[in-house]
Amino acid sequence: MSAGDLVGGFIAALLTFLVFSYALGDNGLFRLAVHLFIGVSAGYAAAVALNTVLLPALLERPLAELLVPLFWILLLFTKLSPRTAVLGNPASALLVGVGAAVAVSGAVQGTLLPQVAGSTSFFSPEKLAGALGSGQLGAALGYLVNGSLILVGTIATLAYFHFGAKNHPHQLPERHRLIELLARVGQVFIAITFGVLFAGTLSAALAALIERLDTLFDFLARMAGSL
Amino acid sequence: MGFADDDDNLPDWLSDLNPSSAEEPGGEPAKEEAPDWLAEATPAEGGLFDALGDQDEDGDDVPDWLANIRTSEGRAPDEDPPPPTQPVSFEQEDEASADWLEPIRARESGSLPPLDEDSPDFGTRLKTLKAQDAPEEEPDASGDWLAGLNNPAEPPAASASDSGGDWMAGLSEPTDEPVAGAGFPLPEPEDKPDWLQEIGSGLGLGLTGTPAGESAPAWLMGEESSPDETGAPDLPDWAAAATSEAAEAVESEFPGLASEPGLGSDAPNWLTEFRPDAEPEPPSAFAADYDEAASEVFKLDSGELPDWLAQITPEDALPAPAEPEPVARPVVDDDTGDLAPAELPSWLQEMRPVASIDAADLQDQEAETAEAERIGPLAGLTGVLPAEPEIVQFGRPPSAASGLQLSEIQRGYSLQLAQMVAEEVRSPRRAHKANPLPQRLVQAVLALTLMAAVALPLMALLDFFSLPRTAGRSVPAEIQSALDVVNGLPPGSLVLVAVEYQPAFSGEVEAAATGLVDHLLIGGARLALISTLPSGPAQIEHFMATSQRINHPNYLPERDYYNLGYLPGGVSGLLQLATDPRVAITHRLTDGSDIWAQTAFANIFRVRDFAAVVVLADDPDAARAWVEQVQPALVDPISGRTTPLLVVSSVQAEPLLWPYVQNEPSQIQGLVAGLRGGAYYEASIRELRVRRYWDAYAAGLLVMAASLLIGGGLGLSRNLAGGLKRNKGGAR
Repeated sequence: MSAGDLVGGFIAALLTFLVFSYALGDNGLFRLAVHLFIGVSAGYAAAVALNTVLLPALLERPLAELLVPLFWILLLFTKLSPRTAVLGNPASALLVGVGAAVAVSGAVQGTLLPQVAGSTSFFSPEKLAGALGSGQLGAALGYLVNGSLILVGTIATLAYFHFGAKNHPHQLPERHRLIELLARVGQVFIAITFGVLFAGTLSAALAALIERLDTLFDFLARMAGSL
Repeated sequence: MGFADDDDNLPDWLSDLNPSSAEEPGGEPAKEEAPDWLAEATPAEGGLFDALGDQDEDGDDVPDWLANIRTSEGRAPDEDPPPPTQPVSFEQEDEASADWLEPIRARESGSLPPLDEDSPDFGTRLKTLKAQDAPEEEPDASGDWLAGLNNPAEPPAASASDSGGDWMAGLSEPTDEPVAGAGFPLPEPEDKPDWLQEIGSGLGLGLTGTPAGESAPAWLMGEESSPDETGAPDLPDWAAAATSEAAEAVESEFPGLASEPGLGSDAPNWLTEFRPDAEPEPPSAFAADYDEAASEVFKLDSGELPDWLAQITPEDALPAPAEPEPVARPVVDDDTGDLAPAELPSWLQEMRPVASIDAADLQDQEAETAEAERIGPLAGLTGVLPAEPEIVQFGRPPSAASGLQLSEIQRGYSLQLAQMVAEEVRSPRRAHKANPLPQRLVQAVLALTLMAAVALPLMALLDFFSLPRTAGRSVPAEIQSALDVVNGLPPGSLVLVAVEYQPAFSGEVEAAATGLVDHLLIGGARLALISTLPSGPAQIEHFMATSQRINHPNYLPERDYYNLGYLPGGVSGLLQLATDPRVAITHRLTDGSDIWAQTAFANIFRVRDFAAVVVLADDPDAARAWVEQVQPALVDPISGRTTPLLVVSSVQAEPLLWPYVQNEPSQIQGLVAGLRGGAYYEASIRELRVRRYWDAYAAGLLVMAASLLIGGGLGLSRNLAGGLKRNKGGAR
């Protein structure tokens, strides 16, 4: 066991105990560990961006290719001062606009349209006929059940987030009865989804705890073995 | 004169002045309607100018009215004043002037010889009068007063007194008393003619307000006399009664007021405060002009003045000299010691307007604070307007407040909002409740229990819980699909691995991915690892060092796997990677060589040229970004071949990734989620890291499930108990 491994393992074990102290409530030791983590992460991210992005681009590329990027970089630097921040708006607008356009187009082409097509495919006559023709009645019923659940779940969840209601005089505004019924069904789907996500979060946290304890025991075992 | 043409357009009062009306038949209306003084003054005023044009000594060419003037001027002092001359109309003047203008016109036309310089014309007479020693020697003088102008050393003392009325005669008498309080220097008596002395003395009396005494005329004396002496005889009975009543009321209210010296009987007591102590200011230019006009008026005979004009005195007509307005200061009478100064309360003192501050004090303060100008042409002057920066106020001018036009509904809303705010203020703030000891104890007990349940299997290294595969259950489809993809990769193929998880989830994701990566290495694949997170490069090295170093000690970096580092740009960087990976990836090896110069990357021009893409993600958004941006580029549009996309994710992202797995066609060809997915995968290949964690994981899940059940049961029972108590309380 090298000295580096020893120091690194000791610091890791110490920080692990500091984080575990949160089980007794919020305290300064836990906040110290969190602040260290945030600071180290930010510093490491800056170092990575400088070493792997900025310096290679500035040193390896010809100056003619850097004029336009440097211009935009200078505009972004004007954001540091409130007086000159307005000069950086075009660069910020470019970043935000491009990012939003890429995200929206990707969501439409990669998520919305394929998911709509996949959800409607359960009711595809060709698919059902193929299953029935091959004697797979259960598969055909499964398609219909899955498709119906997806359809009902989608409509009911959308109805839950529909807050439009007619205003009746001297009465509280109420949604339409059909919308209200669908919203209650959608509430069930949403509750199940949140339950699954909560279970996944607990499971992920438990896996993180296991990994930390395993690392701690491994360090202690190696220290004991080195002794 | 042509006035008759415009007669119809003239107003009545002007028509009365129109001389053409004298020609109307039926007598002489002008003579009848004009006042006596005007009838007398009209020829007298025109006589001077007519006399200037008179060139003949003979009385033939002299009009009648001029002859009357000469007659009146040349009459004996003891003679009675001539009867008023009939006013001559303009038509008659034209006729008369036509007679005496005839010689002038004749001389201008050359029919008559020019006048001799010795001819006794008007100018010549002036010269003659100037040369004369005594005005009495001039038999045909145009006027004594004119002679007096030419010879002021010897004023014609008798002429003015003779020609004037009684009151004028009184004015002409010299007064022994000096003019007191005269604001302007009057000429010495010997330096001015008698008439000027008379007028000056008369005006001086009027202007200065000095009692006229005997020298004042009767009407002027009436100003100083008591109302009983002057006004009573002329007032009607009712006016006289009202006057007497008013006088009695004033006398009763202000006893002794009438006996106040130096003031008129009508002057109230407060007016005495403003009595000027200093000498009055000299008369203005207007007053000087008035002197000249008054001198002409005073030439008129008082007996011929109308009643209304006779009652007007020069003091009435002359505007009073402008006196400074008295400062509205409260008169503090020291003698009235009974009145104590008012004491305002402090709050009322603060409400007192600033304008009530004494103006004199403000002026003193301004004079003290005023700074003298130092530079420029105004240097040395105080009170100079400040420079422009102090005058001009930069910025938006203050907006004038305007009243709000509120409807009833808006007013109701405002009231509701005010009530809400008031209730919010009144609502008791919930006291910060310190964490009670039992709850903190419960937390500590739960934490220790969970740690113990996790630590014991780790330390005991017991295989208490078998892996899912060993239990005889079939491998899930998404995991089996991943196994099939890896099994189908040719040896030596290059696989792109995206490390998109945070260090906090490295334990779970790395454990889940250990089996799949091990499977890839067993199959002889080479890995190109990349990350869109700044911490990704470190995570890559940590994963390869901790997960694969034991099982594949000969699997070396930059030979068997390549850490491509950080891919900047987020989703934009992913889109660029999907479009042109050679532009997006600019990594260089430690020896400085280009990554694209390596043999493994020689055939990589598009992202679908990789044998497979494996995404290690803890966040569903990170995995979804790869699905949305990169997965469409993995499909070859010509052949329709799809480069497989495998995802190893945290279990918390699994529900959100399932739609991409189960979609038709599937967008994620294989999914390994959490320790459970890793256990399935390792169970299919070989037991590795998940096996070590599996017992601890199972024990921890049991403890957590038990805790949830116990806690939920306790909470439910407490709520039920509370509900029962409330129901009992309500029933009672």
